[in-house]
Amino acid sequence: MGILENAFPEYVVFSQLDKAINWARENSISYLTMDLACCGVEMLQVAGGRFDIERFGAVAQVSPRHADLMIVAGTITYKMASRIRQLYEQMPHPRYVLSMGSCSNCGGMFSWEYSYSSVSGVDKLIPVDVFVPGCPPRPEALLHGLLTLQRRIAGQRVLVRDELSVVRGKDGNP
Amino acid sequence: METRELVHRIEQTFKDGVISAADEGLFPYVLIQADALKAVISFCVHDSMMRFDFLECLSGVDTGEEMLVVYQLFSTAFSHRLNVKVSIGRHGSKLSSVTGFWRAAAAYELEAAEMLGITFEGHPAPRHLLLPEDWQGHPLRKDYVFPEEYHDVEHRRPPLRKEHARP
Ligand code: SF4
Repeated sequence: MGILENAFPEYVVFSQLDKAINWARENSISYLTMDLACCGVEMLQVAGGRFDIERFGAVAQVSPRHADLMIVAGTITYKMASRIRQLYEQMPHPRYVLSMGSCSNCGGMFSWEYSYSSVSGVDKLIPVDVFVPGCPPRPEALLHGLLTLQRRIAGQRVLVRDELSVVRGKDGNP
Repeated sequence: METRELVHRIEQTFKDGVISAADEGLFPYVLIQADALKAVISFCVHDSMMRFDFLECLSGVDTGEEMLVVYQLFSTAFSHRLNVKVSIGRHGSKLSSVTGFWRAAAAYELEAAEMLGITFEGHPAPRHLLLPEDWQGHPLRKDYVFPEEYHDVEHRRPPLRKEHARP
């Protein structure tokens, strides 16, 4: 968006434009799959016929350059951490992160007291929008996480000036 | 050959090199001196009655007092098995590499070296196999202390509320 982003006062025309942009964004999410452990298998499951995440407009994407959402599913080791950060930095704005499962939320059963090699939470590496609890979360839980993210996107301000954007940064992340 | 005969054969050939041996049970083994390792392994590989041409596994063990390296040997010619154990000190321990006898030993030795800090002299390409290249310490040692942080990522994650803390 560049110079247009958060540049306008809250007039009806800009608010409606924001709604249209958000509507387009929330219903065409390309997600980058970061399946790192057992949760990854559960994440692949939502793309199958039974749960079918494409009903909600989300489709898997292999290239970080074309992705809007990164689903981090599984145990993050320190060796993998730099790769995750690198892939996140390659994603264009606006970008979102969904953390799936206890391991990527907080370390889970490989938490810092028991494991020397796993990162205790992906939020230590990159900003996270939605946390989905569970070990592993059911595919329905991941779908709920996606719907939560869509609601969050719907509430974003794109063109209209957002007082909070000064605090939160351009892409809405803290 | 029977396991008992294999153990006896090694005991007879290397009288001083063998510390102890067990020829029955679930894990029959010969525990040998570290400086006799190369000779014993060479004997196991080249002796016409033994011909251990396959290394099933090589693992390092930290028992708390000493380090053990366990070689699990198999002979595809005679279908017999034998385990050779070597006992070494816990600090600055060196052992000669067996990659000359079995190429497969290279990966096992890399793992034992990075996890337990054992140096295998004569290894063709010493490096880290599983851990990042700049990792400090040897995680499977009994005296290993977890890192405080790695590349500016803090390792600790205290619980959000006090009452959830483990005692
Ligand atoms: S949260 Fe549970 S299921 Fe998911 S990666 Fe960790 S251990 Fe595996």
